[in-house]
Formats: sequence, structure tokens, C-alpha cells
Amino acid sequence: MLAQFLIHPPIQLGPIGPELVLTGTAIVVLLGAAFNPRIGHSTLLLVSLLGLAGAALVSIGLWDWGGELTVLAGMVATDRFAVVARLILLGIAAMGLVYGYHYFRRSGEARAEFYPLVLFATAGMTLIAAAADLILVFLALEILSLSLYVLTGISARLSSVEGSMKYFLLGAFSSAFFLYGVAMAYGATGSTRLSAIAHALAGQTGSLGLALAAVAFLGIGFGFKVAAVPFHMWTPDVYQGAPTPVTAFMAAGTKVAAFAALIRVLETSFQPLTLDWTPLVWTIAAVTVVAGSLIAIAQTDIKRMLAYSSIAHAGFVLIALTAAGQDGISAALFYLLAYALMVLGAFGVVMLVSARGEGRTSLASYAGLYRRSRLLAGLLTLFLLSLAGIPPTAGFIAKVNVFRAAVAAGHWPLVLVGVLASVVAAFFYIRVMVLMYMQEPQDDAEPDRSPWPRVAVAVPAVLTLLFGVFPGIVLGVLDKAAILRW
Amino acid sequence: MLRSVWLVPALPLAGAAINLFAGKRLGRWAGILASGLMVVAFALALGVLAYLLRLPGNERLVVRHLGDWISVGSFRVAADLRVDPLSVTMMLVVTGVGAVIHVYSIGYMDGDPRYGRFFSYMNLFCFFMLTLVLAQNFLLLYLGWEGVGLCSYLLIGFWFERPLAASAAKKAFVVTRIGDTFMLVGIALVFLRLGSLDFSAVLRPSIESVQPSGVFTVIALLLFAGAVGKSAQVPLHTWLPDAMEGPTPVSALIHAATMVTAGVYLVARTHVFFEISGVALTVVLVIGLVTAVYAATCALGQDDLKRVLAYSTISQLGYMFFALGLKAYAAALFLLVTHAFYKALLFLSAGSVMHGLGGETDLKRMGALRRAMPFTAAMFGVGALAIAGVPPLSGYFAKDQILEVANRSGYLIAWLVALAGAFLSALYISRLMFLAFFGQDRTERAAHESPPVMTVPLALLAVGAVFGGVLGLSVTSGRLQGFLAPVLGELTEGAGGLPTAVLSVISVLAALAGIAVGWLVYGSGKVDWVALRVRFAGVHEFLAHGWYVDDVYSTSLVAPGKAGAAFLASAVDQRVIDGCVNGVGQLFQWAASRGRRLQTGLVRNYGLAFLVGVVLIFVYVGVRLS
Repeated sequence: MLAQFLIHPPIQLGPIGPELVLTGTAIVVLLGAAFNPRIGHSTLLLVSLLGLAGAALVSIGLWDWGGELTVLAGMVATDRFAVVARLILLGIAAMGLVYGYHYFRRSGEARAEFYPLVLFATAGMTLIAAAADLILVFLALEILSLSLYVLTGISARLSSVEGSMKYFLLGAFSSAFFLYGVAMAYGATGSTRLSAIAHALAGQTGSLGLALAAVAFLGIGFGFKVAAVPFHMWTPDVYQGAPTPVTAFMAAGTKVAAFAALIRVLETSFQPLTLDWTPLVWTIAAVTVVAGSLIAIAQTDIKRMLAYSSIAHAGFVLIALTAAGQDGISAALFYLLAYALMVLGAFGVVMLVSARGEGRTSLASYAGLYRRSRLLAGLLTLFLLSLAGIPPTAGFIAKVNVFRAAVAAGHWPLVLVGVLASVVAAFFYIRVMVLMYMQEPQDDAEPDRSPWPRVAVAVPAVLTLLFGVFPGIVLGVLDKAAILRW
Repeated sequence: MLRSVWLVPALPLAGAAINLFAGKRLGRWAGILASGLMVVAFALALGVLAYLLRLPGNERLVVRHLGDWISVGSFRVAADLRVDPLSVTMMLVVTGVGAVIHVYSIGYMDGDPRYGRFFSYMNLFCFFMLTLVLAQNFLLLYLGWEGVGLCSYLLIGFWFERPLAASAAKKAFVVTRIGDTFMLVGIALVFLRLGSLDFSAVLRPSIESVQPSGVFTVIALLLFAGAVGKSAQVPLHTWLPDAMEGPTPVSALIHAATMVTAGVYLVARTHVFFEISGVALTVVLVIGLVTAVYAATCALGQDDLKRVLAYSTISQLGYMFFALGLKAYAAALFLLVTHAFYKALLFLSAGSVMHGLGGETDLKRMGALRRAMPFTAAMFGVGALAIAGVPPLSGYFAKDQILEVANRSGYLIAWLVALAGAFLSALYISRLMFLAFFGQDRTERAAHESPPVMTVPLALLAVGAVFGGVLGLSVTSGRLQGFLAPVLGELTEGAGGLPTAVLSVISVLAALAGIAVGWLVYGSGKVDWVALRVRFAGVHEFLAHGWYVDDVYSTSLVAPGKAGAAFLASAVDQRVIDGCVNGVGQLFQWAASRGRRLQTGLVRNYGLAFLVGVVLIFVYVGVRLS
């Protein structure tokens, strides 16, 4: 009798090794800072980075996982898609930590909890990329969201707190929709496991109406996270209000994680309903690229402009999703990688131009930047070119791949919209370049000249160029990762 | 030796790069470096020649593979250099005459603020010219072809502060471009119809069976159009007289000895196409003959020292094409080589005159220069006698052979016209000689002889101009002709016609008659040539303006073209296109500002937008389900 209770499914912790390492490091850092308040932040940074590196090593070890497709009672997927998504996210987190260390030290707001919060958020992000059960998706989503709410408000500035509050309110709103979607999926198919839902829908044993409602609700929840129109309203306020390193981390990380989960949910569970959800994604993609590109024109603050730009980029990834299958997933993964690089780089430059805190984020501060710092102006130019999708940058290859996949799937009108929107978008990216190179500086504020942060910002620049000129070096890996196993 | 043939073009390229970036710092060494590299290139070219001569006659073709240039699908172009008698001949002319002119430029360009730049362009030109003649396929040839065009543009407009030089450079570029465009189409057609751009693959007599002969006519005529532009033949000749705005060494190197002969080289190289076509060969013949005589008449009406020589060059090139049209390819090449010597000599002597007179080129303000500049005058005289065709100078042999072939070809009218051209050539060159170096002194400043760095090259070229004839004493059995025979084929002379000795006498008489008339009018002092030109003002103006061809082009083509462009620029571009662009821009600005207003900053509005989205999605779900 008792033995019956003691029989439990085999527990394989290997596939959640990266998350275990991350949370473990986070707890160590948190406790260390709590028990020794005078501990140097460089130590905290170092330990955190080591944790990220450890998690990355464990992730790489999972590349050739020969065991079951899902572990922990079907909760966690072990495919290469999860490995690649994790690696991208860990890289983003490392950049975010380095930025934050430097930023808060200069702004005098250094807080030890920054490090564990980023690590927890990262753990949520990487877990969501591997989640094979809607419940786990929701849990991971909450882990990362709660950490990000706090991170947004970590500065005492009013706009930071305001952004945090808005993010939290609307985030809670969207979480409710998401949870409702999980319930609907359960109602339709009797399971929350992605593979079980897929089998039920493929065998047409579930309720189609409930299943469609589930897709809609889950889509709304994800739409909020990736900042798709019309669920994007929080983005400019939060991106502007949050301290710039948090913005960089959030803009890159949340988008990658949420898209990874969205891809997995749409391409596994609801794959039998592809014909039903594709028009929905199609429409949202079109509206998102157009609205994001359009409203960005009217912005006068670079962080807000980049926020709208990130909305538009979410639209481009959605375009890739309309092209179902390996081609679309591979294109989306490369786009996310390229996007993460350029958004990290762009916000990095924004942080350095602002020098201390958030005082100088208006576009006017960029007038004549070339005179002040050729390096920063050059780096920002590169990231803007990549954001605009101009060769030889990764952003160009990313757009080409997305458009190619969409055209191959027959969605050329959507590609047409995307191309036209990127023409509009080119305007506001190039306007910043005009400001930097062709106008006189309006004040004599000096940008941050610390050497190490510059090196950090140069890393995404080098990769943006590298993947722009030799995309083959990652495309092969991404193609292998673009097969979801469940 | 052949392994290092790539060095021949590479050396001037290296010189061009060095002088482009470090020319300022090198100072006077820039010219010495550039000239030295050309001398080394010439020595290497001699080595290649020696190597080639050791091979049996029918094996004198070596293709040196440097690597793959373009490889796209089935389209493959290799970077191959072709070493055969024809390319070696051209290579020797380019490096030999080029080296001499480089040395001369050291003195001529001395003190120019862009001294290093000049030598950089000159070296670059030699690189492209050598690429052109050494290319083993049409695309590499075209690379060189466009490259020399670029250098020609840069060097004609070298003194771009002068509006005339700048516009002459532009004109040269645009006019030759017309021919180049046809040529590019021709090259594309070669690839499309014959399947390859490689010379060895397509330039063989058996290619005839691949396509109907009409295709070869079209290809040959398109290629010839490129030659017409580059070699300044009628009707695309108008750029060359204007190109004299460039420094005189440029005129000597590019617009007399080498680049303008590229067209001759091209036709000789691709003569297989022309022969298969037959029609194309006749076109070459007619254009060449018309140009030879037409330009000779124009040369008579020029008062500018260099413009006389420019029209003379056009005329001489016409003779070369005439010879090509008669299938006397080797005779054309022989004239090309000798012309390179004596025309370069004439140009450099003219440059020496300009150097001595502070840039003066107007014949009306010269005269009696033989006293102030005896050496230059002697050198110019050698060149003049050569071009006039006085034996035993090189020009005599070359021109005489062409006339001989013409006489035997059966085109008796062609022979007579060519003979008239020979008379005119002797006339215009003696007119030039007597006006500049004899008669009354009409100069406005004291002339002086040029420094040795300029006169020694003159002497070198004069040796070539005098003794160049030994290269090809006979049209059938000359050394050069025999050397080129494996590439260009043996000349099959038509039966009949006058005996060779009689023909020689006739052509010498034509030359002497020209000189005699020239002396009578311009040298003897017995005829008042100034009064003569007033009396026949109409004729003089007609010739001075080159039969008003330029003016016809200006009014019929250039002016309407400019008007059309102005209309497109002001009305269509500024109003319609810019209007559309700006309108679209404003539309987006407006839409953006409206869209921005939705972003109120109030969470309740954000939530509302969110809910609107939810409702719309569920409308879709509802529609989908029903």
C-alpha cells in the first residue's frame, strides 16, 4: 500500500539543469549579499556571470540529448530548439548584467538584488523555452514577469516606478487571459500537455470551439509579452521608464523567450489548427509592423523610438510564424538572434550616451554625437543599419530569411506589407544617423568614456557584422534546432 | 619566364597604388618609380618575347591561369593571361613606348602640383591596357577596355580646373561609352550564342558551324562598334580632338600610341568573326577608309598643333581599319607598331615645343622654331617624314604595304582614295612642319630647348620611327608579319594589280607631292597662306570644324538631350517624383502623429485597447466557427 505511493515517475533533472544552475546561483548571490551587505558588486557580477556560463555549459551538453523527448512527466522538452533558445537568452542575460553593473555604479543606485533578479528572470525565460506543458509555460511566464516588474521599478525615479506599475497591471491583465486559455485548452482536450493537446486535436476528439478559444486566449497572453499590436501599449512607457540596462535585457530577453514559447505552442499543440490561427497571426503581424514602424516616426525620445521599433520587429517575427514548419522556425530563430544583438547594442549605446542615469535620452542629445565620440556614433550606426535591415548586417539577413520563408508559404502580400513598413522604418533609423553626423552638438555633455562598457557594446557589434557577412556559421545550427520534438 | 608574365601588368598596378597613396611624399621620386617600373615591365616583356621565339611557330600560344575570376552556375570566367605573338606585340608596344613616355613625363610634368597623381594614373592606364591585350577572354578584355577608358577620362581631365579639359574628359567618356555599350551587348551575345567567353573556345575557324553567319555579323558589328568608339573612327571620332586638352604625354601614350589602337587590336583578335561574317569586314573597310581621308582633310584646317596631330591619329587609325577590312591584319599591326613610334615622337616633340613656348599650341603664333629648338625640330622632322611615308622611314613601309594590298584587292577605287589620303597626310604634316619650324618667327616669347630628360626619349622614339620598318620589310614575308602569322593567318594576296615596284614608286610620289605642295604653300614664302585662308574662308572653316560633325551632333543630339534631361529634372523629378515622395512622407508623418495620440499614458486606455483587440480576435473566432 505504502509502496504504491512511493512509486513515482523517474525524475531526470538533466534537462532542467540550466535552470537549476541559474536559480542556485541566484540564491547564492542573494544570500551572499544579504549576509554580507558590504560585498563588492564586482564579486556579485562575477558569480552571476559564472552561473550563466555554467548554465550555458549544461545547455550545450543537452544538444546531443539521447533520452526521452520530454521529461518530468512531460513537462520539459529536451529538443535542440530549447538548447539554442537558452543559449541566446543566457547571452542576453550576461550583457544585461554587465550593463547593469556599470550603469548602477555610475548612477549611484547600485543594489545587490539586481543580480539575483536578472538571474531569476533568466531562469524563467530559459524554462519557458523548454516548457512542454501549458502549466509550466504559465509558471515560467510568471517567474520572468514578476522579476521584470521589480527590475523595471528598481530605480527610484518616478518614471521607473510608473512603468513598473503599468507593466504589472497590464501584465496581470494578460496573465488572466493566458490562464483562461490554459483552462480552455484543458476543456477542449482534457490535458494541458502540449503533445496530448496536439494528439487530441489531430484525432479530432476535442472540441474545436474550445480549442479555438484557447488559441485566441493564449495568443493574447503571448501577444502582450512580445508586444504585438494592440497589446503593445505598455511597451513605450515601460521601455522608457526602466533603467536602460533593464530595458535592454527585457527588450531582448522577453521577446526571445515569449516567441520561443509561442512557436512551441503554435507549432506543436495547435499545429492541427494551423489553418485557423494563421490568418490571425497574419493580421496581427501586418498591423504590428505597420503601427510599430509608423508611430516610431513621431517619437522624440530614443528609448521610446526603440520601443516602437521593437514592436515592429515583433511583427516581423510574426511574419516568420505564418510560414509554418522548419523554414519559418529557423527564420524566426535567426531573426530573434539578430534582433537581440542589435537591440542590446542600441540600448548599450543609449546607456553610454546618457552617461549617468537617464538624463539624455532625447533624440536631440544625439545631434553631433560623431564629434563627441566616433566610436559610439559608429556603433550606433551599425545597430541602426541592422535594425533597418541594411546589409552587411545580421538584420538584413534576418529580414531576407523571414521574407523568403513567408513567400515560400505563399504569404507574399504580408511580405509586401513588411517590406513597405521597413521602408518607413528606415526613415527614423536614418534620421538618427543624420543627427549624429550632420548636425552640431546642442550642448557639451560628454558621453560615458569608460573602457569596459565600450568593449561590452562592441561585442554585439562584431557579432552583428559577423552574422551579416557569414550567416552560414549560425544558420546551420539554427536549422538543426528548428525541429521541435515532442 | 612565362610564370612571371603576370608581373608585366602587376608592376604598373603596384606603381599606381604606391603613387596614389604616397605620391605626395615621394615628390620627384614618384616619376622615377613609375618610369622604373615601366622599364622593368618592358624588360620582362622582352623576356617573354625571347621565350616565345624559342618555341616553334605553331606552338607560340601559352595561357597562364592566374585563378578563377567569376564562377556562377554555368558561367565561368577565369583570370587567364594569353601569351601569343599578337598579345606580345601589343605588350611590347605598351611597355616600350609607355616606358619612354613615362621618362619624358618626368621632365614635362615637373612642378605640377599633382605630380604623383599623374604618374599613378599613367601607371594605372598601363595596367589596364596590358590587361586588355593579355586577356584570354572577353570579360577580362572588357575590364581592361573600361579601365583604359577610365584612365583616359582621368588624364584628359587631369587639369580639371580648366573647364575645357573637364568637358573634354566628359565628352571622351560619354562618346566612347556609346561604343562600349554596343560592345558589351556583343560580348553578351558571344556568351549566349557561342557558349563561352574564352578566346581559345570561340576564336577558332570551326566556330562557323555553331551558328548561322548572321549571328556572327551581329556579333562582329557590335564588337566593331566598341572599336569605333575607342579608336575614334567616324562617326564616334569627335572626342579625340577635344581630348588634346590633357597633358601632352597623355596624348602621346593614350591618344596616339596605345589606347586608341585597342580597337585595331580587338578586330585583329576577333578577325575570325569578321571573316565568317564577310559583311562586317566590308563595314570595317569602308569606315576605315572614310575615316582615313576625312580626318586627313580635317587635319589640314587645324591651327592647333595638337589638334592636327589628333586628326592625323584618327586618319592613321582609319588606315589600320582599312587594312583590317582588307584582311591584311599583319599589315594593320605593322602600321600600329610603327605609328606608335612616330606618332608618339610627334606628340612628344609637340610637347617639347609647348614646353619651350610656355604651353603655346597655336600654329599662328609659332614659326622658325628650328633656330631656338634645333633638336626638337629635327626630331619632329623625323616623325613628319615617317608619317608622310618617305622611304626608308618606318611609315613608308607600313603605308606602302597597305596601299599594295588595296591595289591587289580589286577595290581600285579604295586604292585611289587611300592614295589620295596618303597625299593629304604628307600635305598636312608638312604644313605643320613648315608653319611651326620654318618661315617667319611669329612667336610671342623666346623659345628654349627642353631638358635632356625630355629630349633623350625623343631620340629613342626617333630610332624606332626611322628603323621600325625593318620589322616588316615585305607585306608577305616581313619579320613581324611572319611572327604574327600563327595568330592572324597568312595574307593571301589577290592576283593582278600593278607590280610591287610600280606601286612603291606611286606611293612615294604621292608622299613627295604632298610635301612639295606643303612646301610651296607654307614653306617657300612665295604663297601668302594667310591671304589664301581668307579667300577660301568657307573651306577653311569647314575643315577647321571637322566638317561640322560636332555641331550637327550638338544641335541634333546633345541639345535635345539636354533639354529633355532638364525637363525631366525640373518638371518630372522635382514636381512629380519628389512631390510623390514628399507627399508620402508627409502622409506618414501625419499618420504617425495621429497614432501617437492613442498613447495617452493612462493605463485604463491601454486596457481598453487591449480589450478591443480581444473582442476583435473573438469576432474572428466566432466567424471561423460558424
